Amino acid sequence: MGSDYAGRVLRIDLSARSVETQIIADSVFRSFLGGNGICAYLMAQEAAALDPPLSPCSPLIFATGPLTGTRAPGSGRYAVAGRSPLTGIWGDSDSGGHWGERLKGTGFDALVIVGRSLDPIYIWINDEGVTLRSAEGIWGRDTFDSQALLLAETDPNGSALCIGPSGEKLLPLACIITEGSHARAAGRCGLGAVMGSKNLKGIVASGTSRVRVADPGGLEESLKRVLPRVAKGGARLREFGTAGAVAGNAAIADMPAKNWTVGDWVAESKSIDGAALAAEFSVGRYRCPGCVVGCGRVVKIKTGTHAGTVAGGPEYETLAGFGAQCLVTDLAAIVELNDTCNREGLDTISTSAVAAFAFEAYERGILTDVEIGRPLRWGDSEALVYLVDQIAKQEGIGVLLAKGVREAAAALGHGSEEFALHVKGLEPPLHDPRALSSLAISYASMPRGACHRGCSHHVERFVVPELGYDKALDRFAWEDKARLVAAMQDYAEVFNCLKLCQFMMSSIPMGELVNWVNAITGWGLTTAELLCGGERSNNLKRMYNLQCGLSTADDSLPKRLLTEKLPTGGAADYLPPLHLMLPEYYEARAWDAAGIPTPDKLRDLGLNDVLPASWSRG
Amino acid sequence: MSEAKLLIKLLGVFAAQAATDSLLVDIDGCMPVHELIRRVREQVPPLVDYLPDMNDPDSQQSVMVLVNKKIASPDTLVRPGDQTTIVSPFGGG
Repeated sequence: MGSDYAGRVLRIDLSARSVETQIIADSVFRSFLGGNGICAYLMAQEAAALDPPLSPCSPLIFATGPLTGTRAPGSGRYAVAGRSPLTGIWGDSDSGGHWGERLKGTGFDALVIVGRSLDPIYIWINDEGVTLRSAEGIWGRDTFDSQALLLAETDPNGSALCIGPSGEKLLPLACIITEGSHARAAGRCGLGAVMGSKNLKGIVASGTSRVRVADPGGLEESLKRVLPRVAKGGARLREFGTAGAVAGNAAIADMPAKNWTVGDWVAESKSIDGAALAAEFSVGRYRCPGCVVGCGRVVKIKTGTHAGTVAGGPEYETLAGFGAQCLVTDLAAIVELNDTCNREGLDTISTSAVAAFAFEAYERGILTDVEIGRPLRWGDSEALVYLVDQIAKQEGIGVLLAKGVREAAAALGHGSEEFALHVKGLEPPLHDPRALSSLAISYASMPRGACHRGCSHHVERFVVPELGYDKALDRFAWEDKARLVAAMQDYAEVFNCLKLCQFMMSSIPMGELVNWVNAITGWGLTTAELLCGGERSNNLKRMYNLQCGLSTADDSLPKRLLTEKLPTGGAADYLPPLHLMLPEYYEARAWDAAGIPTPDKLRDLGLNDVLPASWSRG
Repeated sequence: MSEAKLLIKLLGVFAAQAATDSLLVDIDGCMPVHELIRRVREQVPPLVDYLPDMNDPDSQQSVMVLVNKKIASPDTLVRPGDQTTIVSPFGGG
């Protein structure tokens, strides 16, 4: 191997209780870079890639990146991918923490897990090998307790990821948690339910091998140049974490409120913004390994069952979801809800979205006190806590809501589909496409559905000469926006493949990123080749989704975001012209009018050799 | 040219660092946003690390100035009476 990659993928069949090491050529890692890209590659190699998400053979894949375990800041993330039980299409998610570097330390770059154990188990991977162990005593426990028990039974110096009771119950909103009570979440797409369907409670990684760096001197030189920029660029994140975005995003109406109907929630947002969180709840900060920013918050919970305990604090998405979207200004309740979701293993974005949907259904008389078990009025934090509790416990209305907004609305009917906001089944993150036209085309086109990780945020502001953008663009203008988004999606996917934190995106010059990758791997990639890795990954996911039955009709936005203008606020009276941007997007991607990558594009990306023969090309 | 004051609202991290949610800045008739930011940096030293010089291209990703609720470019002219807000929007988490 010429790179830091061991070239080894661990394939575990939980039905057969067999463990196999697969050797992957360095050229594959060079093409797909790692992380999300290598997940897409490995998925395409699996015979059961298109099986229903919760069927035993459906693969669940974990992967590290080429920078994992090195001194590159923000490089500790891991990726997880599979067919999403929430959307039925490609699903991926990722999180920070130590798990990625501890997996890489075992000498494995990725894990492919198939099959279903008869009884609850967990996997322990260390320098000596792989062990499958009973999780009988851990099953049913929340994620904080589970990780503590997993590490106590294996290696206290290791790192564990696990599902909570929600994953065990196969809820499509279930996520995967790591870092103990700091609770870093691979939140999106319901992949916690895929783990649960395999009776897999957790995975402990405790490898200690060091990553080989091809050119340590070259890496250090580049880091010397870049680290001060990263530290400077991260100052605002260091101060309040992502919670610091609440006030600014409210000011430009990027932060949605009242289930995407209110555009001016600026005054109220002060109750839940970063300053309020810092003043009333924060007791410390959390940082991923090697990070010079430290955007995570540590807070003291003040209400509920776990009042008095200290744990990870709510991020921007959670504050906006449980706060603005439900008109809740009770920050103590949001801190409690965040903690509940982390412990239960629920994605806070989708869970808050389905809660806001329920509030509106109640307001419209579609849901009543009878179905809910109590009144449900906007801004009522007690009602919100009750709803999330019902979802977690799978009681009452929680059974319906835990299906996500698309399925809940389909079951509820009475026009509720009109205010069940999702793209391809995935509830949008808390950024409004009516405030930024780039979000419209990005949400509509991303492989996993409405996604804030696939194209960074507010890309109109990015100045990236390497991509042809040397000045900021107007946030409402639509001309040339599709080309920008396609380019930025591929650049963001490079970060997702390298498993590099996207908060570094504006601080690391692209040339230095290429230097890092080459110094670590020895690949000698050009900038164009690096970007091609992101494009390759996105196109392979697109091909996967086409096999799942996706068509251009799915590349759309909820009707509310296309037809209902915000009445007031920083983005009043604007609607994104998606119908004008989508054809330009397909053209920018060299996809045909049906949204299918052209044969020439597949050939240029080298995907013809990767796509299974059974997959349709058009 | 007579000198007037411009009221600037600060949100999020900027308000916290300045220990106030509004500032009065001297303004000569009209001036571009990048000059306004230079004066704010000069007037409130704790903001220097958080409020980059807007002539630096990197700054466009970490600071946003709204003039009369519209996102301003570094060259946008501000005048006395304009509603001006400095924010730091970003996504994720």
